[in-house]
Amino acid sequence: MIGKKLSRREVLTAAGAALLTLAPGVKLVDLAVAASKTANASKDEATDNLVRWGMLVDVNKCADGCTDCVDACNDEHGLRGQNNHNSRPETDAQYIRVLDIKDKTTGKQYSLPMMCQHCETAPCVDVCPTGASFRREDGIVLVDKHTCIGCRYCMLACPYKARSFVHENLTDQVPTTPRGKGTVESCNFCVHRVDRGEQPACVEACGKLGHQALLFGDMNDPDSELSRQLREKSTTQVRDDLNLNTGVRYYGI
Amino acid sequence: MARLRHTTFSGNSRGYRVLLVALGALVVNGLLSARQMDQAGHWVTGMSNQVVWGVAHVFAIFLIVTASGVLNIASISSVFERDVYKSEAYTAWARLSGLLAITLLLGGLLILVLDLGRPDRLIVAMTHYNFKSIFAWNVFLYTGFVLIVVVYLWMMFEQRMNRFVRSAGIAAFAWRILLTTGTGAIFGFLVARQAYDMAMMVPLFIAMSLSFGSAFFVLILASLHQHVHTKQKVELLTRLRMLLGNFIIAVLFITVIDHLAKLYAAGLHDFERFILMDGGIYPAMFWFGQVLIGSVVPLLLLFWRSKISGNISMEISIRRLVIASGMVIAGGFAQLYVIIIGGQAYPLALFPGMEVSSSFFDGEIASYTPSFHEFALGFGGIALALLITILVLRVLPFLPQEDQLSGKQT
Amino acid sequence: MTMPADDKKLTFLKFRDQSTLGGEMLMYSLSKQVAALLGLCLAGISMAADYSDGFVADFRPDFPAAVKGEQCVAPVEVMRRNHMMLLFHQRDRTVYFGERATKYSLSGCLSCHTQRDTQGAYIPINAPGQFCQSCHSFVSVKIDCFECHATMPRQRAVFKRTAVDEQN
Repeated sequence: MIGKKLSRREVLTAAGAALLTLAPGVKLVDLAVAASKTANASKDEATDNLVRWGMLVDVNKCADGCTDCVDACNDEHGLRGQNNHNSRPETDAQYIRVLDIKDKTTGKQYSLPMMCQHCETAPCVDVCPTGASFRREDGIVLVDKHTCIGCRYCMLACPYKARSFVHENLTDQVPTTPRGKGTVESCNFCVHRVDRGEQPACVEACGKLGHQALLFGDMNDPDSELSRQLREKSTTQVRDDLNLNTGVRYYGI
Repeated sequence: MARLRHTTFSGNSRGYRVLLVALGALVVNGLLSARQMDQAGHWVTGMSNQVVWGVAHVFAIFLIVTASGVLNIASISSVFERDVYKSEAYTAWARLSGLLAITLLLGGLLILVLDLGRPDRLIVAMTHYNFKSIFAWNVFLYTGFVLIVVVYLWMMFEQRMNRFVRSAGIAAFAWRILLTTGTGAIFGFLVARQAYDMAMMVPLFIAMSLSFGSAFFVLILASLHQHVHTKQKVELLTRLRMLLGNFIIAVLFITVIDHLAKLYAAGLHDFERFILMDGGIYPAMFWFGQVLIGSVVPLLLLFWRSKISGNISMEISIRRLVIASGMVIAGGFAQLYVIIIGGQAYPLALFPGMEVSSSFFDGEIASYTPSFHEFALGFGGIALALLITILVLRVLPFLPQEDQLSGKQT
Repeated sequence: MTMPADDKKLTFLKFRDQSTLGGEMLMYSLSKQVAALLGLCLAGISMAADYSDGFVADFRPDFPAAVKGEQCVAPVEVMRRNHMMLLFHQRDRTVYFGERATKYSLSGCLSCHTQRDTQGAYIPINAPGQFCQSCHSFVSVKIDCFECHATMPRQRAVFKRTAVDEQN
């Protein structure tokens, strides 16, 4: 109808046709499913639960004062406040952070990276009213920002303080990490990289300087390096009293 | 017994009109603040990644808890008091109690919805449900409550339906207990936080709702000045004195038990020290707000009798009840502030017994200063509840009529 | 017995499609119905007034042509009417199942339809007069895709926290 002069008859016909297809959605869904099936067959595959992505943090190898993983994460996801630098630390997002820990009794000190632990029974997934907070089949805990209403209940429920709320308008987002005002977000194991068969940005950065404190892999594959190390070393889950079966394990604490 | 008649609110005084305008202005003010929060983002409020729910939530939860408590009057009239003569004072006010239950809930929900990061996605919250989420249960509990109370009111209004009032009243009472259970569970079932992880939150919230609701109704009654027959007011107020006293004691009792249990556990000593002693505003609010102003002084006002003069006059007794009710409301806000904001200000213990620090405020007491916008939104919610109430009073016969009860009892 | 994984996924997906229809697409189909009714009214008016054949003027939004590619991922008529369905569907497949095929993805749109200014820098696709915005302001449909999604293709984030901080 656009860009063409129409006779009255044509207008009437078009209006009638529009009335006859009052519920176009039904047909469109089929179309979209068919389209997606072809896309699948030719290209990438859906995730499945044969894989469970996990990470091992070797605290002994985590270098003092090093923030390479944090910088790489901020870079990868374009995390920064409105004014291009951390002008409002209390409301700016952090996906991964370095915790400095000191034992009050013995005086032993160490540092470790803390982020979303990608729990099997994640409290954030339980409490989310719309189901926006969910766990992918391969164990990665994500927020579907299209259905997140910004109630922030997941932030109250998370035992690891892993989540941030976007407190301001954002521009210039990184294409692979869509993020915007009014929704909650957290470490997503760099899911766009994982889907491409790559490592999360923090793991890659930690390896660059040879620290190798972070190891990423498939916990379900008994032959993976991650599974081998998890089998051999006595690793810890943070807040293991909650029995959340975390995807991130720590060695040396 | 003369049948109880109800009437609309007939006063068209200057005071009524001023009240309308004032409440309307507060609602508009709240909406403007909500718009500002929505357009700029939540950084304009006092909330942060540490304290994710602020003073607006204190108002919202106060209103929701009070909404179910204010239904007490109706519940007693149709469920608990079988003696017709004794229940008459309650029955006279049952309709207003039902109306307030609905409007207060709506006010609270308005605040909650407008505080969302994406209030424009309310339709998503209505179409996507995660049934394991207590929030999702609450969506049904709230809408169900409004529906049930509407039906309950219909049974009261429609003479032919009066015989179903008791059944509707029982359903409404059961639902209001469920509703407050749901609200308490929002906090009680959070395993992650030391302040919240206890099922005791559920009975605590139920007791709070009974107490705040009764106190709120006393204030509403007291503010209905000349327009309503004083005899009925006096009757109900006299009865509410004992009731309110018992509810205050119940809240206090559960609070004491909760703190004793936490003091018994070594792992929670630091948190208790924070919330009861070292935490600045929070212990102050707890001891002076909740305990002193919200519980001890009201109890004295309600029950203390001078040995010399013996019984005090009914007039003084009622004046004391009204003052006590105002103090219970103030103490209730303090209590919710301590629970909601104090509970978040205390840092999560990721590594118990260790000193932890980071750029993300781990191991630190979070600072929180409520902003104008949050207060504006909170007062806007209260104003909306009252505005709807006084508008509906003009249209439908919610208030007991003067002449009917005079001289009915000797 | 458990279903094969793929069947389970499809069931789930079906549910999601329906729920999508029930939610945000509700507005879309409502607007369709309103448009149809308006069309009917328009026809009625034109019949009553007996305008000449030229009544419906040459309305169309003015948007720039695609920068590259001969052919869109689907015929133009399909894209005009249904691009939002394709995008919503791809979106859910990507978010929930990690299928990142770009055929119906938003970044796919960007890669062909983003214009460059005279200096060769990208112009955000939601800027006035640009591909998405011109049509959407023409039909008065507000989209919030770009509150979160990138508005121009970019290979990698260029920002380094420390460097930026020092500059400012």
